[in-house]
Amino acid sequence: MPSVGKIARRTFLIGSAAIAGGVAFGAYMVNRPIPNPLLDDLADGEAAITPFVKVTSEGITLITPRADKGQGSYSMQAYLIAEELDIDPTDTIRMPGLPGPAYYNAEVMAEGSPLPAYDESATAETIRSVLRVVPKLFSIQMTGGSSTVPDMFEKLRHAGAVARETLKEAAAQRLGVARVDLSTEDGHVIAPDGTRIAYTDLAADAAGIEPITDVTLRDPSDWRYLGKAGLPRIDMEAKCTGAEKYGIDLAFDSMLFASICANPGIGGALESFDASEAEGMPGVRRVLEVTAGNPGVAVIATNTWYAIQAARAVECNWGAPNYPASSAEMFDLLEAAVDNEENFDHRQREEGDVDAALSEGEVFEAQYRIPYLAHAPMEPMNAIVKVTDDRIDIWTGTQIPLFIKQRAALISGMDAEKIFVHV
Amino acid sequence: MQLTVNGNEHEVDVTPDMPLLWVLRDELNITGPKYGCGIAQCGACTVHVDGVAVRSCQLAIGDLAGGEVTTIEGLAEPDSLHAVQEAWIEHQVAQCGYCQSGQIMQAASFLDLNPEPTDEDIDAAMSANLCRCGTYPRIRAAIHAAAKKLQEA
Ligand code: FES
Ligand code: FES
Repeated sequence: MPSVGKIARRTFLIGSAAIAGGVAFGAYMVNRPIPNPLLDDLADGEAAITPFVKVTSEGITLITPRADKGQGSYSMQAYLIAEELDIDPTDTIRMPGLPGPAYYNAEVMAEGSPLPAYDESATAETIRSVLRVVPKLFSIQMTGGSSTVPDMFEKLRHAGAVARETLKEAAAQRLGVARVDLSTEDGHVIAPDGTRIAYTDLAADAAGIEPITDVTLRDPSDWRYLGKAGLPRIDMEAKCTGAEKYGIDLAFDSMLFASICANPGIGGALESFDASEAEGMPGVRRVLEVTAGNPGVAVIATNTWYAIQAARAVECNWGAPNYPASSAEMFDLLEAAVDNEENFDHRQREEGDVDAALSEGEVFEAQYRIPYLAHAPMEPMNAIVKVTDDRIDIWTGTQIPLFIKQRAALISGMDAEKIFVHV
Repeated sequence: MQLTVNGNEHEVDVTPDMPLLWVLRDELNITGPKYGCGIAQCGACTVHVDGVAVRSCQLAIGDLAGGEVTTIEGLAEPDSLHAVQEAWIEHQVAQCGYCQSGQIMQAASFLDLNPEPTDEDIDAAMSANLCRCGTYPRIRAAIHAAAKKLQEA
């Protein structure tokens, strides 16, 4: 069983912070123990992805920061917190939280939590270091779904336990009894005489006391949710009634809709285009050339359909991409690259004597090939961007929100501090 | 133009060639029906018109001809679930869930026509509703369960 000491070594605990009408709990990682030196740079960026339990008089909010792409990670993260906090996760509000420094700046720092000061240069450095490792990040899938549970396994249970003990302490002070004589059940602290006090009723008290961070995580034999077969997904009903909101479902008043007609050969140029027909079509407000990313033309209109129709009516003259058109030719290129000794400049591991082993033992040779497979999610890629004079908000489904933030900063020239990515 | 969705009358000001899907989503903010392909290839946009499953991305609003539209939001009576939705929850069908409004609408309409389907019937009726997460075995199991519920009801 993980001990407090182990967690304390890895993390710097925020403990709790008073917020409007309640209290927020979280564990803040200052040092991420990943031996790969390439990833050491990530520490600050990762640190900002923070587990949170927020208790106010209105209700309990669980922050589940890892993206759910259908693998059930939102449910799992909620269960991890609930296991220690003694709540029914379906009675909570679950939010993915804003990523990275943005979350801290907007929510926690503004609300006066005892975070180490994050000056502008430190944050800027975080973004720069994230950007430096992005190619590595893609290739090793560091932020991929398979790391969610191992990464969150202690952190979220710990956040739940800190919240539980602090709420108990608040109840103990109110009732004039010792914390050890109290227990918790289903979102309530239970007094020795059976009196039940709702967590929500203790929120304001808990915000005013020193958080209890000296907690012991429960033994697996005491678990009610974790490791149990048939644990239902918390968002199942919403997904069966149309209530679940996806990025593409969000809308704001007077929002405009854009559809992009991009070069089907990725990276190929847009040589010229004729938008005269599109410009006169219903609902069309503007036609713009897309210069960032894959070249193309964007049509901005008053609804999605008008935008799509007009984008189809734009006549584009595309340049060829710099890759071959068929899979066979691509394989030829890949094969040539594999055979090129100049590419033998990376070694992940070096053990034993390969030449000696090959000259002695039986040699088995085989070649495996897989074609390029597009991810092709059912939800077409989309994002909502709201730009005002002093901030940019972006709503989109993404696994690497910090990268999006950085791109937005580059494109807009706005300070990364003022860009908020909502996943 | 007027249309009735989930029992409510709406007035929209759009061109008659606009597909029902976009009228629902962008004009009426009814977002249960999903946009997947826009070309009748995925089924994510499936709704009922007069109780029959249709691909709303292919039905121009001008061709609705007074048909009553039901979306996933209006499939069940208020504050209750349709037998298909109950079965979906019992069998924990949805993963990302993006295709599931369409799957459920397709399944509900299909069970109206064929209350005791075989596996083959189900595969044939559901094969044009794509699920990128691959929930097909659970969809099949849930349809059998829903069929039983509807028979017992
Ligand atoms: S969006 Fe209508 S079938 Fe794909
Ligand atoms: S549940 Fe993800 S596409 Fe079907």
